[in-house]
Amino acid sequence: MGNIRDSLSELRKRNAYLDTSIYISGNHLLEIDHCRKIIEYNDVYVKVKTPTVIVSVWGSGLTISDYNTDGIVVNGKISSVEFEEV
Amino acid sequence: MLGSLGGIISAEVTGENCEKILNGLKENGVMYEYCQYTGKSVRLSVKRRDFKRLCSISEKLGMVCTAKEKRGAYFTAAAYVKRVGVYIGVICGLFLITILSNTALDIEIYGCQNVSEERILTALRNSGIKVGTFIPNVNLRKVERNIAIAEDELSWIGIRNIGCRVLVEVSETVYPPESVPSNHPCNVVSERDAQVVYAEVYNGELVPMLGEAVCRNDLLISGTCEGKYGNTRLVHASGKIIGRYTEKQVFTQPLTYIDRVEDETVNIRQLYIGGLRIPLCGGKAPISEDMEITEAENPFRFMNLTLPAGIVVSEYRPFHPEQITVLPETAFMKIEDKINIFEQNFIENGDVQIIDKEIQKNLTDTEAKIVVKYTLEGNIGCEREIFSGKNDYFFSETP
Repeated sequence: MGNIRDSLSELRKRNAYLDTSIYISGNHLLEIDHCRKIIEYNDVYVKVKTPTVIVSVWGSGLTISDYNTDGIVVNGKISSVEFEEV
Repeated sequence: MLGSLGGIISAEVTGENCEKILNGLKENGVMYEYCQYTGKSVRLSVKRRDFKRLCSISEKLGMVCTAKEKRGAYFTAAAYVKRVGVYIGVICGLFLITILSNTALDIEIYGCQNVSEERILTALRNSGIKVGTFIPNVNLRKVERNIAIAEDELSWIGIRNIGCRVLVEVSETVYPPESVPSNHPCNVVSERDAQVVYAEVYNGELVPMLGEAVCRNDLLISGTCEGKYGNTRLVHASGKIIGRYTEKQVFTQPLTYIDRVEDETVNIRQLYIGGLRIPLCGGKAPISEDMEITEAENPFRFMNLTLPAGIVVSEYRPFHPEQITVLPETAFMKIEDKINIFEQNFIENGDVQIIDKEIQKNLTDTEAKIVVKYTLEGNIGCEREIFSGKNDYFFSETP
């Protein structure tokens, strides 16, 4: 029963575009959709919680822009991106 | 861009755990840009109208918010609010725009072929439209009616204005060609004394035989036809009668004559704004009784639009009379040039053929003369109404 519910939930997320999507342009721009909360932020590290995953961005001179579209844009010199299950 | 027209404030929020302020802004739907971490504070840009909300959210979270930089059109304009000169400038600008966009600075005429532009400009001037006229004071429809009534050669005139440009569109009257209507009975008579060499009759009855000589006004094709039973009917005679005839032309060239000799051309530049002309530094207009002047307007252009201002280059070509003496050979060459021009313009241009040409040269002390006797072949028939009174064949006077 649990498996069916999980697969239905997964299907719903995919079809309704509720899954987290990330767009990376080079190593200077990263867009994260469906951003719930900024857990931690400083100029070398940004940790963001999304409905499905926690995204950690490492780099230097990181800045955040929030255009109020349920997502954030991270600018700066990005060195690595890590993912962690919620 | 956060709508820089409305103004953008770059603020610094100081306090522990700067992530709190970012999450607080997200929850309250406040947009921010370029959030930068600077140790114990974050610096971010928000819209002017969101700054108060940023301050209140910061206060709730125990943080301190201060504005560091204000930029955008709103703040730039706010710096000039108390300057009276700006208001005076804006009012003067609006006044000038209103006045200039309702004042005729340029009159453009379209559709002229036979009627000269000067004539239409004069008619417009008489009706009150000229450069400098305040357009709302003129009833354009009334002017259109007045000019259409006054000028017979114009069948229609339309006047409208686009800002300071007055556009005049005219349509000229097209007169029907003078000819006998095809349903009127008429004869075809001879235009000149000739020998008939060829005849093509489309309607009517041919009177002379081929090879016969005819005089001017002699009947060539009769429009009065007799029927099989003796009845008479009148038709519109038509046809092509080719006749051979002679024509004498005399060309002369004085050996000493006064000719126009062109002096040095002078170009003068003027700046024109509407109807006003301001001379620019350059030459001075020559004073001469005999002078040809051509003007070329080079209007200024802005964004593909032609402005009612520009540079006029006036070219003055003065002439002075000078007595010239030529040798007889040169005089005869000049006459031959005249003969060629005459033949091109008056003979070969139509459907007349030169069959023969006799040239007789004469030279006196004062002039050279060439008498040319042409033998030509061409259409000699012309239509003439039977019952039209003075043009009537039966009552016409033979010259």
